[in-house]
Amino acid sequence: MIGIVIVSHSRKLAEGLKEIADVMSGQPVPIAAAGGVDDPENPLGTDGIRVLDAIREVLSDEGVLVFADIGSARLNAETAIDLLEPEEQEKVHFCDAPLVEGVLAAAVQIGAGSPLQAVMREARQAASQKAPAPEAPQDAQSGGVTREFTIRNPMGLHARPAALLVTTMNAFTGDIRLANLSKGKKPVNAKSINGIMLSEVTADDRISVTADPAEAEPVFAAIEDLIRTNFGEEAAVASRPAAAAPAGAPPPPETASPAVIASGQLDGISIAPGFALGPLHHVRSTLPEVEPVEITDPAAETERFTWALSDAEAEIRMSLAGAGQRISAYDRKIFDAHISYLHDPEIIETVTQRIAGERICAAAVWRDVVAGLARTYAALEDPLLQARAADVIDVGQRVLRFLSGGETSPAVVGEPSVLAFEDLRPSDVLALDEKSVLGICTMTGGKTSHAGILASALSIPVVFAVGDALVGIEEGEQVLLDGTAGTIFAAPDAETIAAMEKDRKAWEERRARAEAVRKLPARTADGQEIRVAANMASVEELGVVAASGAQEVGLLRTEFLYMRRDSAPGEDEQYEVYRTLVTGLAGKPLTVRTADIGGDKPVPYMDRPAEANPNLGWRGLRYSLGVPEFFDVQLAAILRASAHGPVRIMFPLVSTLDEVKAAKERLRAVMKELQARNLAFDENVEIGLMIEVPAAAEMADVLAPEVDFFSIGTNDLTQYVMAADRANARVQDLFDPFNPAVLRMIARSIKAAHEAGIWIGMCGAMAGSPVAAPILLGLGLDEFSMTPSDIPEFKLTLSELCLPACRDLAEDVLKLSSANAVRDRANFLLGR
Amino acid sequence: MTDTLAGAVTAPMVRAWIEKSAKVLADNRAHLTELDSPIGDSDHGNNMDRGFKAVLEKLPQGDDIGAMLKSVAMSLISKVGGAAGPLYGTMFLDGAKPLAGKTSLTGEELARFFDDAVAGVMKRGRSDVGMKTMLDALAPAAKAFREEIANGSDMPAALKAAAKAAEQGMEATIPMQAQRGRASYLGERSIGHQDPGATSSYLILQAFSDAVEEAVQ
Ligand SMILES: Nc1ncnc2c1ncn2[C@@H]1O[C@H](COP(=O)(O)OP(=O)(O)O)[C@@H](O)[C@H]1O
Ligand SMILES: [Mg+2]
Repeated sequence: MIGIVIVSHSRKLAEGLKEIADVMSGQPVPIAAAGGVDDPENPLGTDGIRVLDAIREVLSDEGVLVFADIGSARLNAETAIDLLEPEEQEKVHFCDAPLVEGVLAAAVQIGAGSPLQAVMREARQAASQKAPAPEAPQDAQSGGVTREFTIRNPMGLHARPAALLVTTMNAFTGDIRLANLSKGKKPVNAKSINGIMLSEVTADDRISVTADPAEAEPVFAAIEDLIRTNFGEEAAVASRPAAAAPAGAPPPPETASPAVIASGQLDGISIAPGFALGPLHHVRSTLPEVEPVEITDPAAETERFTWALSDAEAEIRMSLAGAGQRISAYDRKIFDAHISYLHDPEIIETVTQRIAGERICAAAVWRDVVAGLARTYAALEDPLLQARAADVIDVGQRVLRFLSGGETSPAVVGEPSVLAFEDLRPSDVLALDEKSVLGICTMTGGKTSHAGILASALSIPVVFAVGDALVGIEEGEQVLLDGTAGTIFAAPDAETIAAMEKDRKAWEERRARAEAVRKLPARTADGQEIRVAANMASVEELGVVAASGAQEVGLLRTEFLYMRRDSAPGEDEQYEVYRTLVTGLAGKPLTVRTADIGGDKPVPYMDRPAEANPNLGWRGLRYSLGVPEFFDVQLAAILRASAHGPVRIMFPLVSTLDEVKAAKERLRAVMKELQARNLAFDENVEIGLMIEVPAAAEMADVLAPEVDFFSIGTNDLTQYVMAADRANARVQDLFDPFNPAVLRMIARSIKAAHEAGIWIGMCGAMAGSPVAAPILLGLGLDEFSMTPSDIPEFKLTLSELCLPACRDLAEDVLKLSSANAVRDRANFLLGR
Repeated sequence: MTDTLAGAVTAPMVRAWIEKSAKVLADNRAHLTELDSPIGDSDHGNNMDRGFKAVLEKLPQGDDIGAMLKSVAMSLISKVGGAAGPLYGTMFLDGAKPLAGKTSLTGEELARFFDDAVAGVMKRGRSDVGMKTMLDALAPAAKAFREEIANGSDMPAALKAAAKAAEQGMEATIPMQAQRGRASYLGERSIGHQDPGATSSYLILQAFSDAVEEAVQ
């Protein structure tokens, strides 16, 4: 992950800012605070060596952003960067942004998985007063699909809800715009935390969201989901009993309709996948009442209190030590915060004084003080601070146990059960014994809360925010928890249980087996090896791809380089990106597809004419050949990266032989130029083309001698062969690569490739489909390039297949007359 | 004999220079802070004193001049705290780069050291002569030193000329309006005050001249 270094004259400021950023980022983002100088009397200043160490502490291949406060902090930050080794230096960037706003914006953006450039841009814009101008001209949006929503949660889109929205939107590739209609704001980038915050969306505002037609439906569904679940945390706030509802605030949202309760099913948010069946056990999560008992010796009582504090601290430290590898360094910080409450001078002072003044027992005073504190937190407007209430209660309970002597840890139960919490606390997660706890569900809580983050790593199913109806399920009643779907059934009937049992067994077994073959070579049961590759579309995915079990990258989409910026990236900038990837892949080949930017994805600086039919328009190689100054820069950058490891160049949307020849001509010209500039590259770099236009599939035998490989893009090929727009819901049944017409095109291309002695892969969605696997294998496909998460299941499927059966299948399906018939036939072979 | 001695700066002389600088800066701590109060934040004296105290603690044994000066740089970067830390740090670091392993310096080498040092400050501070900074003392000193060496002066004489030029440069900052650093926030109100950074630069160069002078006598 991209790291952040905070350089400030004040150590306290740097550390405090880190604390807020840690909580706000949602995900654990590596942040290092480098503030102050080593001089107790004059602690203000900056220490360049401390900055240097801080950079190294958070440095990874994904880069580091350094932020500084005033003047000389920047000088020292720059000095520290200069002191790094050259290979470290290129990953570290000074970010000229306002310190506090910049760091917070960057942390959220990094947590949401944004690329470095976007993070820097967001950070720089962080303090600008007016909303950033929409990056795309208004008319460029005409291609998008727009829908309106009403935001209902009381906090509106601030802090965490905004961060959650950005994180969710970042999962989509296309441009997404959000406009606050109620306040008449201009559309902003829905992946920008600043854009969202500056739109000032508050409760009951109407917003419009515009998305790429290709993914509009899932985008809208995701937003609806967020609204339904009150953006995760808001539900927790609204129904926390301690929080008095502010006057005029809307009533807490209904979390489960009566109809749903009648059917026995409650819906929540999936935190950790898996299935569980067992009795429900309610775990009390509020502070117990404590009778105030009069005491005679305040000094002794104060001493007992002090002991309880240190016992509580010792207990936290012990359970941390016991948890070992199970929790990360980041998670540990949560408990460090708990320990800090135990040292809070103000709390201790208040308690001690009241013991002496009121002469009542420490337990009662402590309970009172902690409850008051939790109430204060819960009533605060800032959801971040509200979330602290749970932490306070958590610590409060722990100390109470020591003061009142002996009550056992709350999460200990006799028989294995599904635990029901009002709100899960971080310490509950730590104290869990995963063997005796079947699963966890809560009434409230969000994915990005402390407990949510911790619980997502558990090996048992966890479902949050199923609503108040959870209390309605009796203690000990049988429940069925589906962590994957995020649901809980009360008193499931035999049928539901049987279905779930089957699902669960299959799911668990399959997952374990798939994980086991992830890193093994992709091989059929009869020993045929094929190449499994990963698709990539950003530098951030490097870590995922490296760990995915892929032996190469079969498709690097390069459009990300051009999106969301003011001008095209230069040769050096592109080269840096490709080189980072090549080096990061450590010898695994990288297939770079030259830009495929069409009229459907607006890139303002390209100044392209509007097209009535962008899919049939000036895109892919057609555009590149038409704008050689654009094409040459990309070719030069890719070539230069080939000096650092195996690289392949692939041209998208080829239709004719002339295009291929022209592209190769450009490539040769760029090679000459690089030689003249004395820049190294691999002269034998492999060149390939995408088979995605029917003309190319039909003429594959003519094209093959010109290149080293083919790669089939099934999405476009299907859309063109079937004349069915992939974004048009009405023709989705036609948009199906299992159509025999599409399969015949694929078969023809594979045959032509092999006759010409070149290899052929596939990088469309079909390549990762287990159902397609036997067909494609039978047709002779050499390389399967897919989303990294598909790889384990794909390899497992492959390991169950035999080549001769697949060949027969492939021959058969080409003669079938419908996509469904093809799928049935393949499923039959797979035994599904 | 005087000839060889007076024609080179040896490692012990460099060590004496560093030690003398630390002493002079400690002695002038209050003075520098006083200069930093009307046009800064009253910390320059403390900054430089703290920095050079750390320099003395960390200074390596031996006769490697490059290593000694690099160590000075790192200590200043870490311990000065204010703008002067990275600026003087970069100055010593960039100046010391070609001197690694050297146990004595010729006039030409030292002239190069001064040039590199000045260039380092300019790069780090994005600044130039005339902006009311330490450069107003450092740059004329580097120039004067090079001229003296070219004219055949011996080391003590050349260093003395350099210190003199630094002193004049320091005084020349009084009528200037600051264009860099904290003082620039004051605009015209920075006019009429001597720049603290230029003053510490002069003190360091004067210490160099004095240390070499004492050594050859
Ligand atoms: N950009 C710069 N370039 C050159 N010298 C500078 C620059 N900024 C500040 N200085 C020098 O640093 C001196 C101030 O140092 P100091 O008081 O230690 O730092 P700070 O200003 O951070 O408190 C100034 O008098 C000036 O000579
Ligand atoms: Mg100062």
